[in-house]
Amino acid sequence: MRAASLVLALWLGGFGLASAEEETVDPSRLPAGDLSLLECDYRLIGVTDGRSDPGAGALPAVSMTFPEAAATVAHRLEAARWSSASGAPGVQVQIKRLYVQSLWAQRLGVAVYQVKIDGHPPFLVRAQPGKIGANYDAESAHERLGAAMTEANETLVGFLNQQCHAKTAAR
Amino acid sequence: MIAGLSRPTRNPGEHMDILRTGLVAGLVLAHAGAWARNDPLPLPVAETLAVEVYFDQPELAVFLPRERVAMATSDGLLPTLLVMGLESKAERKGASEIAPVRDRLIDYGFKEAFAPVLRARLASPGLSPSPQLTWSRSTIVSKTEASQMPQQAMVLLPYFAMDRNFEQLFVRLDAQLVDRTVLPNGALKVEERISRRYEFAFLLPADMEASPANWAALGAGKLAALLEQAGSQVMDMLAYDFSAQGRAQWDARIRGTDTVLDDEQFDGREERRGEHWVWVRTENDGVAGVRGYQRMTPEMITALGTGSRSAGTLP
Repeated sequence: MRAASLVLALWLGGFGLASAEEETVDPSRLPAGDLSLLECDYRLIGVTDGRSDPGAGALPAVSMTFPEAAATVAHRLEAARWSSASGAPGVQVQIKRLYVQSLWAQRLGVAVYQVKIDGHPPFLVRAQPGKIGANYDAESAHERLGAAMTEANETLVGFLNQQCHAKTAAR
Repeated sequence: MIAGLSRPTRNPGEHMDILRTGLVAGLVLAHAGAWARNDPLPLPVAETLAVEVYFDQPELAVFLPRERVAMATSDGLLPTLLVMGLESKAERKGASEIAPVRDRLIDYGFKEAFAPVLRARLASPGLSPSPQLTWSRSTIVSKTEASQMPQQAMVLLPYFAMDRNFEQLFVRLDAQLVDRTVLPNGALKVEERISRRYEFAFLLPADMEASPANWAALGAGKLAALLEQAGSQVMDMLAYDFSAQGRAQWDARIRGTDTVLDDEQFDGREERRGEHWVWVRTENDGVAGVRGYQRMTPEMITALGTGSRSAGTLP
């Protein structure tokens, strides 16, 4: 019966229409993710929240809000060991999207950042890791949001390290 | 059948029984309500019609046809899961492939653009001269809120999306007229009186490959302009469909009819036509409603203007 309800809800094709619970993201429940270390000096100027509202998507059993998204992303990025030298290029991160979504048999976490490095035009970093499974509760939503942030953070640090290598090669 | 659930949340300090508003349950209820199914629908529907909009879509969606899964459910759990797995893979692929178009729209707010159009077009002779509009992100309501909800309401669910083959960029508006009763235990009983789907789709020029790259190449301003036009069209459809003229078409035969626009054939009976666009009524049964199409031309794309620029993708 639960499966039938899920099918019906999914057939309707909505985002969060079958939600039965509202929950605020608890940063302490997000899975810790590994993050590479920066290989040259970059200074994290800050992380801002560029979303129009704190909504963080929904799975069939839960609708999420994430008001502390900016502070959480900033905290997780700190693990890359940013420079505090005033001469290091500054990096600004703005969260554009951060949400969970259910597909037919998968849960998708999505994180999109707009990144601005001193002297360069802004660009987007998008991560949307999916996971097959039948759990659609708050725990799953936390897990997917954490995975999306981890992947986006790693993509950003990976890009910055590529710039480090490019700088070294140019010398 | 009872639409409400009685599940406490994990929110501390408040025991809030969670109820569904009936957007889902309304499809399976058959009990007579205040808008009795066999009574003619008043014109307008109500002098002061409560209109509730529910919108919680973070980005442009990829919609897959649901028919394969719906058919598989009648064959049992295993075929259902098998088809769901295949569809999930396709949807995952779609979510990945559509990323360039989503990135173009990263600074676009569908709700912010659509809300004024909706507000302006909602007051109409067939619906209500004085609609009472509310927006919500979530369909979850507490028992207290449920007891204060209007007994009769029009529920609107807007979406902005593309199809799985990236041939169409469209706005969809699902509309339901519902009756609600709060039962003695606080649960919400919801009966659907009418359910309609309105969509307006843009297609790329015939000589242009239907690919996310080509849609993304239109740029943020043109994509936003198309979505704005599509949103305006679906609101016109809603107002028209509940007018006396529209209601006269609800039971007219559709099956087997099609409509030709600029040498292109679309399923459904022609309902209205303009310059390079057409509306067709698509179903008498199932998901009844009106669908509109416009295939763009290079001249039309040029005329859309450029609009604002958004950030590029990862260099």
